[in-house]
This record gives sequence, C-alpha cells and structure tokens, in this order.
Amino acid sequence: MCPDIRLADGSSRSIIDLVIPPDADPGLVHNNSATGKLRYEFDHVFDANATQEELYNMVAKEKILGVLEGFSCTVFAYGQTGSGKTHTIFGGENYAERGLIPRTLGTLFTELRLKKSRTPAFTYKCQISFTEIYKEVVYDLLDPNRTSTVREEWTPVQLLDSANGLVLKNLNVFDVENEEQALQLFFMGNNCRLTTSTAMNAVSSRSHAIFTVLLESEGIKTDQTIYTSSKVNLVDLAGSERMYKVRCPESPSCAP
Amino acid sequence: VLIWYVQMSNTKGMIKEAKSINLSLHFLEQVIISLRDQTLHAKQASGPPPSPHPGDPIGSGSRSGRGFFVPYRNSVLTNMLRDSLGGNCRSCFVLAITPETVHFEESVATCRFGQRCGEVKVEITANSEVGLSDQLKELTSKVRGLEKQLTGIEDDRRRLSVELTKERELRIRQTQSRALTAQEQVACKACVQELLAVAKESILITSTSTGTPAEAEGRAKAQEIIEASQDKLFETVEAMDKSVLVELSTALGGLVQSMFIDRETTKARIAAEEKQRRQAAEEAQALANREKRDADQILSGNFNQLESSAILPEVLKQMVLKGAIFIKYSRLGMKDVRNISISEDLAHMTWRPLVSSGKAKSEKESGSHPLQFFDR
Repeated sequence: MCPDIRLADGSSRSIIDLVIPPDADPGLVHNNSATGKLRYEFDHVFDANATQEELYNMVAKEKILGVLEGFSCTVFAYGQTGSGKTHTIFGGENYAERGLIPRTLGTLFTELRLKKSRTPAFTYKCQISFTEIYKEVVYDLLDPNRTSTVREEWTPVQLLDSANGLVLKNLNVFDVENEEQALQLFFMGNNCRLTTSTAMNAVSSRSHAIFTVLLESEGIKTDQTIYTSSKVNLVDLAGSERMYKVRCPESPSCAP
Repeated sequence: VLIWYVQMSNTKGMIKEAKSINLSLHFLEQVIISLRDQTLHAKQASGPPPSPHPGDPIGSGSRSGRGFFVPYRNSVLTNMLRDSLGGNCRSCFVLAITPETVHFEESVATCRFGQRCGEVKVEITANSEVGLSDQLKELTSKVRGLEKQLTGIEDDRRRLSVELTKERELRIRQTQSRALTAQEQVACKACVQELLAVAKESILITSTSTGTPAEAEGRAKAQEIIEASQDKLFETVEAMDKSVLVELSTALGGLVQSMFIDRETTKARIAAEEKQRRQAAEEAQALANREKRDADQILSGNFNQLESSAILPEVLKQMVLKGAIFIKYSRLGMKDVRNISISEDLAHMTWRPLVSSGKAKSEKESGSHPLQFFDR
C-alpha cells in the first residue's frame, strides 16, 4: 500500500482519501490544499489485497441474481492504463484469479440449473455476443467468417437506428446451453483480442471490450406464466492517460 | 509497461489510438454528467438543492427545452451502451487506480469520474411479464369481481336513498310535530273566523236574490250552524298538532284561495246586476212618462207639442220605426191609444197598448201585421 492513498472505511459507504503530493499541479488541487488530501466517497473501496472473489461478491453477484428476475445490468471497468481493468473484468493467469466475466457466467448457469431442477417447466434462452470498439469502429470478436488477422480487414459492426432502438448489423449472437459453451466463446473472443494485437502487448487496453449476455426465460410463478428478458453487459473500457506522460521517458516510475 | 508506451507513442497510429480513446472516454463522461444533472434536477424539484460541483466543465449538461439532452450519439461507445447508461439497467463502475504518486492526477480524475457516476440515479423495473393467457384469466376474474362489487354498490345505493328519503320525511315530521304556540293559535283562530265570515257572507250574498220562504229558512239554519261551529273549531285549533296544521294548510291552500276569489267575483257580479236593473227601471220610467205626456197631448189635439214624434214624412217614418203613439178610433167612436212601430225592413207593423196603461185588456190590443202597401 502506497502511502499517498488511504482507505477510510465508513459504516455503509467507503471513503478514499487521496493525499496530495507536494509537487502536484496546483491547478488540480487548489481547493483542497488546506486539508492536504482529496476525499471521495464510494459504495465500496477495495485495497490492493482484495481478491477477485471478494470484488465479484461485492460488486456484481447481487446484480447477476437480479438478471434472472428480469433486471438488466452493466458493469464498467474504468481507470488509467495499467491500473487493472482488464484484470478485473477478464481475470488473471489462474482459476482463482478469473475475472468478472467467467464468474458471472458461472453464477448465471448455476442459478439457471437450480431453477430448472426446482421447476421443470422453467425454460431459458441464453445468447452471447462479444464486441470491441477500436478507434470508433465496432468489431465482432466472435465472427466465425473471419479470415484475416489484420483488424483493418475485419467486417465492422454497423450501428443502425430503428423504431425499436439500436440495431447492430453484422453482429453474431450465439446461443449457449451451459457454462462450458459460454466460457468457450469468452476465451475465443479474448484470444482474438490478444492474438490480433501481438504487435503491441498493451493493445488490450487500447480498445473498449463489451461482453454481452442476453437472457430470456419462461417460468411459472404462483400459477402464472412469467416471461422475463434481461441483459448483462460487462465493459472493459480502454485506459485513459495523458499523452504527455506517455511521452515522458524521464519519469522515475516508468520502469515496468 | 510504460516504456512500451513510450516507444509506441512515437508512432502516428499510437497517437491516433490514444486520441480516439480519450475522446470516447470524454464523451462517456459527458453522458454521465448529463445524467447526473438530470438526477440532481429531479431531486431539486422535490428535495433540497444539490451542492455545486466546482470541478465540472461549464455547459457539460446542456438543457434543452423539455428536459436534459444526453449526448449519447457523440461516440460509438455511448451510443452502443445507451440502454446501460441511462436506461432500465443497473449499472456499476469498477474503478481501478494505481497507488503511485506519479499517477496522482489520473487517480484524482478517475475518482472524480466515479463520484459523478455514483450520483446518477435511474429508475429500474424488471423486464418481466405474465403470459397473455394468464393475464386474460386474471383480468377476467378481476372484472367479474368488480362487476359483482358494482352491483352490490348499486343495490346499497338504492336502498340507502330510500332510507334517506324516509329519514328525511321523519325528521321533518318530528321537527314540526308539536303543539301550536299561542301566537300560532291566535293566527289560526283568526283564520277560522275569517273562513266562517266568508261562508256566512256567501250565504248572505246568495240570499239577496229572492227565493222561496223554505230556501230562506234553510239559509238561516245554515248561518246558525256556522256560528255554532266557531267554538268547536277553536277547540280543535287549540288541540291541533303543528304537523297536522302544515298538512292541512297545504291541502286547503287551493280551496281557501278559490273560496276567497269566488266571493269577490260573486259580489262584483251581484253589484253589476243590481246596477243594470236599476238603470232599466229608470229608463222604463222615463219612457212611460214621455208616452204619457204624448198621449195627453194627442188626446187634447196638440200634435205640435209631441215629444216622441214629428210631423214631417221622413221624420214620421223614422218615428214609426222607433215606435210612435197613434190613436185608434173604434167603430163606436172609442179612442184607443196605441204604440205602433214598424220593423226595420218595413215588412211588419206591430202595435201594443201604452206602457202606462197597465195590463192588456185583450189579445187584440197588441199584435203584428204584415205590411204590403208600403213602398220600401
């Protein structure tokens, strides 16, 4: 834990204090120079030791359970380059460090299986799509007809407005029955993302990735047939940073 | 990692990439700010005003005429995730920051962005609906229940309105059911007296015209009865209940009124008849006087002094048309005075004895005869 960020756990919400370094840009912190720190309040603050599981349980689990009742949900990962967005959403090297997407799929299908075993009349339809926005162009990471590995040659997904809302043309949506199929699609898309960017390793944070799960279900609740439709979006935003800092080779903490 | 950046940032493509990333993140932030302004505005309308945020870019949440304009269409990212950002969707942001002093400004920017995201509030509902057949079943049963309820309410209403009417009548009767006050008794007695006076008067009025002695006797008896009934009526008034009085007055109202009106008209009619009769008598008297004078004049041979006739032929004709006095000499030389007149079409002549000479002695003294010799 670096000394310039302090976590102050509140009772219901969490507070983070950013201690202003002495050489900070005065324009940024002019209002808070008296206290010497910037205070922000969030629903929850995790420290560097927090595990993926803790984060998932706190951030997404309740919302994912709500998806089965028909509530849509979206999780964004936002932050500067190298701060761990992709790690949060996609996960790390091993099973314990898997990120929000595989955990979400795990929860969803476990719950769906449970529901199915409880009420046999319960049926569902689960669809998955995986897209990426690179330089203001949407690409389908799961396009099966793709032949080229050069991103510029991919067929872009077109956004069309219609009476019923946004229509995504050229986007493939895959029906999945179980967790394995879903994870397979996820890894496939993730691989595409990485393999197409071998030229520069950090390109993963140079595009916005959107993993979407569409869920439609039909169940019986107190003698009534109930239809639900909901959507989960898991978004890995590209890293934001200032150009001047990137260009600054003299920065003392530039070592990887 | 950052060394990589440094090397790559020198290429043109890298700069372009970074530009598009920062631009789309900027537009995302703008959308969040617009949504937050919307939330704060909604809160302001109902709750306390929000605290100002000095760090906000000016004019970021532009207001259009009807509400807040959210600039979703500025970038592909926000356009694609439109439903997730401001629509019917639970959204959460996981913010990643680096605990290094060199990235302090980015950390501040990230936290500030997160803070703004946290201030956005959207209403969410579950996208679930009941199957149509079940909905139909449920609604049908609901409608049936409501119909039943409605019929019950209708019945209740009818029953209650009947009860209400009864109750109202009862209350009116109760408030009026009491003995008469002294004042009311006096008024009632006066009323009775007046009525009796009217009745008596009407008997008197009718009795002015002549009738048989039996009839006169009947009237006298009726008057006696009326006089006797006054005491009895007074007793009744003293014992009378207010409600009875009210009912009685409404029932008798028309009758009494018509009685009074009748009395007035009868009085007027009788007075008019009396006047007419007197006038007729006077006229008859004047005519008799005139004829008597004329007859005397004629008998004494003084034709020039006649009041009721003239000597000129036309005048004579006019006179005869009106009726003039002539002397008829009988075969025995007896003089009979006759009033002779000719009908207006000069076709008939009538004669009659003078008014003053009393009753006709015989049929011959009056009669009519068709005239054929006159040149009309």
